[in-house]
Amino acid sequence: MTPVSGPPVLTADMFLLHAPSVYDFRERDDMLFAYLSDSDSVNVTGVYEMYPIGWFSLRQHLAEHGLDVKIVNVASLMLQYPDLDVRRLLGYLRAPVYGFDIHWMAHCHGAVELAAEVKSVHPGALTVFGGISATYYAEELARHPAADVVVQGYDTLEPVRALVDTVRRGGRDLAAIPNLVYDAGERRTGFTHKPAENYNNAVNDWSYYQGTPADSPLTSKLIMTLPNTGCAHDCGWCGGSKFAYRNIMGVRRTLITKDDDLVVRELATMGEAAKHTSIYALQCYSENKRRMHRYLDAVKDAGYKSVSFEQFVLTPEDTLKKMGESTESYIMLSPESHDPRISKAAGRGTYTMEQMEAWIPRALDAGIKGVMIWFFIGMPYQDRQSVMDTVAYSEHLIRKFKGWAALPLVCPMVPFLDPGSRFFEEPDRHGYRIFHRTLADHRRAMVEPLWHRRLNYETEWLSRRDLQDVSYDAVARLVEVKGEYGVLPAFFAETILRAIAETRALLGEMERALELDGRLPAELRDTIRAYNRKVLAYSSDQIVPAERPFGGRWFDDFTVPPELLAAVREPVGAAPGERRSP
Amino acid sequence: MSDELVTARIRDYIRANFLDGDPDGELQDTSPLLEWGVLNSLNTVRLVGYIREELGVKVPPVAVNGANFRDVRSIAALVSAQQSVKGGAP
Repeated sequence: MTPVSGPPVLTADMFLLHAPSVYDFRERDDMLFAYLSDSDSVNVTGVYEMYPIGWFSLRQHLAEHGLDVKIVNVASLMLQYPDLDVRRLLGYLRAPVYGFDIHWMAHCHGAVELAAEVKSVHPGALTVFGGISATYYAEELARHPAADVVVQGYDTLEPVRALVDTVRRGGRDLAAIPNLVYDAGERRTGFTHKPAENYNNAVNDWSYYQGTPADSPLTSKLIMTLPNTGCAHDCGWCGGSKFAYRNIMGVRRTLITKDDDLVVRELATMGEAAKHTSIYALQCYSENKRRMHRYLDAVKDAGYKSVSFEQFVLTPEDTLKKMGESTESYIMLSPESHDPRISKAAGRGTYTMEQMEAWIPRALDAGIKGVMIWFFIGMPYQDRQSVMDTVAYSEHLIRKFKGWAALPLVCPMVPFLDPGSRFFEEPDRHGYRIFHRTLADHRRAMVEPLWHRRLNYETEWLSRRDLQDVSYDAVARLVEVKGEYGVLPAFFAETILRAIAETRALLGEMERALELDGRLPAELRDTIRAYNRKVLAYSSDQIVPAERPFGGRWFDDFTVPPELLAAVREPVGAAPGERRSP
Repeated sequence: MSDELVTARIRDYIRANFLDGDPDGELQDTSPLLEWGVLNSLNTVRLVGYIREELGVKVPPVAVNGANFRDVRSIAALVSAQQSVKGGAP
């Protein structure tokens, strides 16, 4: 498909295309992108428009070998421009290789469907999948006609470099490149390329993000840093745990760290813009004290405005002090439950709530600006009463610490329990029941009308329907409490409570229709479509529960130029079937 | 409420809540709040809540943009404009 006129095509040696969770999600009236069905813990929609940060490493590594990789966030573009003609856009993106992620399975539907579109538009191109979930499902994924190659492993920089280099020269003999599964799963090149000491030593270059204007204070600059890959911990629900890595990747050593110097260089790439940029410090719970303090020195030197640190233990006092001196520091704790038995079963339980409450004032005294305390729904032993007891405990925290200084939050584990995690692999031992096992099962689940039927798990203590119901009950009660204590402005609390009530009513209507008639009536479909349009018009999360316009986030698209966008959007008033084609 | 009073109340709120009281008096009505990082998403939600609950003006989500929240003066202008809409004034 060749554009005959209009803006120039974008070329690259490889395009990395981030698909929406469901393709095409726009105007769907047969499934609900329900409030809370994306957990509401991160500032994205149910389309999951944030791509893996590891793509930066791939882009950088290939650039160092003279290969041009461009990232196009198709999901974000589709949200920002609902009239975007995706096939027409793909016609303007030219590369011998197109890469896709399924990112914790949330994109198992959309990424495969988008790859099918790419193969339709560019029949000669190679479609490549990679990442942890793609590794887990490598053979099944490779059997799908939309997937030419799956690159296994979490050290894929060199195999992908070799793959792109070979294909751009016109080669198709991939036998010498390790870690590949291809030819409908018939050919494998051996899973031999394992993480070396410095496997992920690529600098994530944030300079592209420096000069972007803030269109809204609600989307002020936020970047992420990832100083390591793998994990030092072993949470039973996590597909990135030690257990999962050892089984999926076939390695003994599961935590691989990036060189200190490279992390420091990475922080410097924001330049002066660091002064009004915040950082979400991913996986710093696996860092040792020396590396953590070096990181804090670099944050201070670069002048970053603030950093949010994920911590699995109560941060020691010398590190707290250094955090407080380095920047505006926030700490994200995740005990998962107030109940020590559940917390421990969830892979935490390294401190009691009493210890945490004694630690919070010390953290604040050391200069920490706030502590966020995350609780999780869907853990072993956790029944409805336990979840509501967690909310009651949250009220105690709000009363004691006056809200933002120690802010409790609760979210359900959705849409899936990670394949490869201990609970997924050994469900009976941990009180879980698994509904979807294969990639195809998960792809079907992603387009289930009701989100509780999308879930791939339930527990002995909470059925899928219970998980949905108690999630709404818990979040609604916590929002009420925050409104009562003035943590949230009253009208924000009222808005969320209205959204929850509307969502539950609509889910109930859909469930009744499906049970009684086996289908969704036309009038109800109209309501679903209108709801989805509203929910997918903004992003939101429980931390800042405001409608935030798209654009300006680090993962929004910065690749497709405005003139190309203008050329691939539907003309206003175009009727179905009147789409322009290149 | 006069424009001057609206400006003063917004300035005072930002000083008290986001600038530790601004003891050195650095905040001016034209200080760039976004570039300084004073208004991040969290602070903006709190400020919008304050405007709604204390000044009685509902700021629609679409109006929470970089132009309207550039500085104290632009926020005050937005609030005054919304007051006029609410009150039916020209």
